[in-house]
Order: sequence, then C-alpha cells, then structure tokens
Amino acid sequence: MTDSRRIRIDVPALTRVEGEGSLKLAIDKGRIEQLQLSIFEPPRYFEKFLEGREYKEVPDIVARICGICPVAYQMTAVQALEQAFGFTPSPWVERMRRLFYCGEWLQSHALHIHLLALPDYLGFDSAIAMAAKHPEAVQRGLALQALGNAIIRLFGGRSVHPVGACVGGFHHAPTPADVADLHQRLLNALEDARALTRWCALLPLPEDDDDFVCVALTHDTEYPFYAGRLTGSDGLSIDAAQWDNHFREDHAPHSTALWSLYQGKPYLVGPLARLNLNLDRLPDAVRDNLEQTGIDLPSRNMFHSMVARAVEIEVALHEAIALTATYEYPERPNDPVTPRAGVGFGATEAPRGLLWHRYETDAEGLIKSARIVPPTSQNQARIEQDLHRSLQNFGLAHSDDELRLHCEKVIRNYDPCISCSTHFLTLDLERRD
Amino acid sequence: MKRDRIQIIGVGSPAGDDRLGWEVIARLATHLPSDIACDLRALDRPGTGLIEYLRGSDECWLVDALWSPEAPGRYHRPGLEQLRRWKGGAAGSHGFGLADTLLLAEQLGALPPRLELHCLTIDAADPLGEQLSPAVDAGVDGLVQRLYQRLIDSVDHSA
Repeated sequence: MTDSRRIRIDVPALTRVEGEGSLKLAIDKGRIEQLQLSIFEPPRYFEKFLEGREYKEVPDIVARICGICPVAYQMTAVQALEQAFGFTPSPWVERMRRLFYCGEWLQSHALHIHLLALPDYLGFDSAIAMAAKHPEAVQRGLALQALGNAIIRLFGGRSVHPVGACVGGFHHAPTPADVADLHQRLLNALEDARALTRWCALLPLPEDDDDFVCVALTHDTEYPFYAGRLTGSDGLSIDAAQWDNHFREDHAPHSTALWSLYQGKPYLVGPLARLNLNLDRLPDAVRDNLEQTGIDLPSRNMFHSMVARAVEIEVALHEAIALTATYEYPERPNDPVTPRAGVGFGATEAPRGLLWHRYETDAEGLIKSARIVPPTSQNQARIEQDLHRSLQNFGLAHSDDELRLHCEKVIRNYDPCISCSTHFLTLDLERRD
Repeated sequence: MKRDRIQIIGVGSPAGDDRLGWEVIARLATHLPSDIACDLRALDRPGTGLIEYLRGSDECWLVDALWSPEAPGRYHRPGLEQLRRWKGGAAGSHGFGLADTLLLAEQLGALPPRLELHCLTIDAADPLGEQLSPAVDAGVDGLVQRLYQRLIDSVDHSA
C-alpha cells in the first residue's frame, strides 16, 4: 500500500551561514524527486557599480562585497588591475599582501570551525549553547579569530572592510614595533593551532566519500594564497587569463546567483580542494602534525573540509611568523602606478575558495568592464550535487528534522558566503511516501 | 570613590541611519573634556570580534541602532533579557548579530560587570544614504546629551 502525505517545513533562515536562501526537497516513494538549492537574494550589481569608476576606487568598493573575506576581493582586484597596467609590485608589497591574506584565513577559518560548524558535530544548535559545555573550544576560536583580525587591522586600519590596500601596494606600512608585537602573538598561538588540527580530526565526522574535481591555485614554492596557476585534480593547469576557455557561468532558474561549471560539470573549490592539490607545499611541521591524525590525503570525504580549515590555520600561522620575522620597514609602502588601456586578470585563494576577477580599463584607468566570480558561486552546483548523493547515503527514511539537519551540515561544510554570490535557508520539504 | 574607566562603543555600518552608533561616538568625542576617564570606539559590524573589546572592560556602554516598526529616533535601553527576546530579528553576518554576540560573551564570562545598551530605533537601513535622517539625527543629539551628562556627573571632583 502506498501511503501518501505531504510535509512542509519552513525554517526562516539557515543559521550559521552567511546570507539567506532556501532548499527545496521533494521525496517520492523513497526517492529524491526534486532538490534545489535556491538563492533568492537580489543580485548586488557590484560589477556594474564599478563601471566608469577610477581604478583607485576599486579596492575599497570590492571590499564591501563581503564582511568576512574583504581582503580576498581587494587582493584579487589589485592583482588584476596591476596586470592590466603592466605594473609589477615590489617584493615587499608581495610579501605583505601574503601576510595580509594570512590574517583573513585565520579569522575566517577560526570563525567557521568554532562558531558555525562545530555545533553540528558536538550536538548543539548554536555556538552559544555549545559555549556553556565547551568554553575552551570557543575561547580558542575567538582568540585565533582575534589574531587574524589584528593582522588585517595592521594593514587595513580595521578588520571589517579594510581600507589600507591600493593598486601599487598599501597606503601605509606597519611600524617594526607593531610587527614585532604581532610576531610574538603568532608564536604564542602555534600550539593552539597544532592542537586544533588534531582535535578536529577526532570529531565524529561522517564517512561520506564522493568523486569530485578539485580546482585551486598551485605554486612552485608556496602554499597558495595570492599567486599560482589554476590547477585541477584532473590535470588542468592554466593561467587566470584562460578562465573562459574552461569555465562557464550560467543562470539556474531557481537562483539569483550565477552558477559556475567546469567543462560543463560541478567542481569543488575551497580548503579541501586546496589541501588535496597542495600537500607537497605544506610546511614540514604542519605535514608532520597532519600525518599524526591518520587521515588519508588527498581526501574524497567533503567532511574533511573541517580538518583542512584547521590545517590551513596552521599554514597561515607559519607563513605569518616567517613573514613577520624578516619584516623591514620599507622606503615607501607603494609605488606609483601609471594607468593604461588594458585587460587584467586576478586569481587568489579566498578562505572559502578560488576567487577570479577580470577588469578592462581605458587609457585613464577608468573601469570599462568588470567580472567577479566568487567561490560560493563556483561551489553552488557542487553543493547541490553533494546534497543529492549525501542524502541518499544518509538514508531518506530519517525524520524530517534529521533530514534537515543533515542538509544543513552538508551545506555549512562548504562555508558558503551567500551574500558574496548574492545570499540562503528555508527548507521546503515535500514527501510523498 | 574613583570611578573605573568607561568604554563607550558605537556599533554601526555606513548604511544610512545604521551609522548612528558612529555618530554618537563622533559627537561625544568633540564635546568631552580630556579629564573624563572614558574610551570611545566606533566599530563597523564587529560580530563576535566585539568580545575582544568587552573582555577586561569594567564598564561598557554599547550604542547601536534597533530596527523597529516604531517611529525612528526613539531611545531604548534594553537589558540582556529583552535582547534575548529580540534575538530572532537581530541577525548579522553568519547569524552573529549583537544579541548573539552578547549572549555568547555571557556564556564565556566575558561580559563587563557593568554593561549598558543604548539604542535608537531606525525603520530601515538605507544602503545609499550618507546622512542620518532628521528624526534619527535628533535622537542622536538627545542620546549624546544624555551620555555626556552622565559622564560629566561621574567625574570625581574630590581629587
């Protein structure tokens, strides 16, 4: 006998992700009939706002796209504009941009692990409830986040929407005394970061192996933040300028954000993709610590993204320690840039994945056109694909609450920044048994 | 008895009336005599980063905008209990608005012994506005006067 019933669940907003959207799930006779991740936040038109603006305004405008990863937007923009102008930044600027980026990885990954994702694995509905039982974990997260914010403030004047970056370098250079103080704070945090990686590896993460293509930057000598070639786990190796030959953005009817596909298929960007493709670029101490966890890498289990974030906190700390240890106050924090008509491309690694920019400028340096492809847009199709498979593995006979929680865990695992891609979660579940 | 140093934090964003916390700090800064034991800070949507500033503070006054269907510019001084009830409507980035942040700080024992919330109602955050609306502007003047007077009254004149 076929029992027919419809269940509708409305959650006003998915908690612990940035932005708002919805998930439509229809189950018919124990099979997923419809699964749509809808982003309904209106498009934000940043690319259009940039048209006609002076190149100097771009870093401060794009920083406004996101309160969590403004550094990524600034660094990708300055990289693209400098390429358009045929300008090469000084070695000091290159090093300090990398340090600036370390700050963003630290604060964003620490926020995601401790306040957004961790309650899922420790059985709490929020970080506030979790803090009563695990105050030391939350304190550690806040301390690492604060350290990241301190780095961003050092260069950007403030940690949210920083204003210190410019085409050509930075508006000011930190004093050696401030950098020495930061260096000591970074050293003091190392043991917490090592412990965090081992602790994350012991969490009850689901066994949920899948097959997916990873895309991330890779670099000859460093773990990629700010430079490298666009690389895929299938052998892709291209320059940022070749993006359009391999990637395409499309509108999905149920989403206001563009969806990116690689060779017509979903792909993964973010910490796990980066780690899978850059294992040989880990600092020795980080690799040794990771090996002690017993986790096999490269990993096909998306839930290992949590561990990848912890590993990248360690990477960022090591990198920042090295950069602050050799800090020298520069003769000037930026070099003059002469604008020209041109086209430039930028690709850097935001905490939640690859970020790609393209700008066309006129002879005065006014922006003729801009294109920005954020990591969450790139991961959207992959999230939907993952949800479909992961729900089947989890079992559709679970209760509505259990199904909803599993969906939310899968989605949060990508640390989506929906306001970047344009926003997330009302679950509309229809079940016909 | 000499009073502990007070920290006043204005929380806001550049979006229209949502900047009122910054305006309160800016206007206080222009009026306060130098002998007032007070630290003024304007923070741009700090999220949980606010806890960094609360920790170790003996007394903190937080100034923020409160979205409300009431007329804009009205003064409220909610307690944490009221904030708990308003929590659902006060979501910030990654779901961590002011209410969540203060509740988290409370769980961690990071709230200052004396914490006051000073809020003015706004009816919408106009993302393009660079000025306060007249009603909120007047409310800011009233709040600045209120805080200024309390600070002046708190000066230890016996020294």
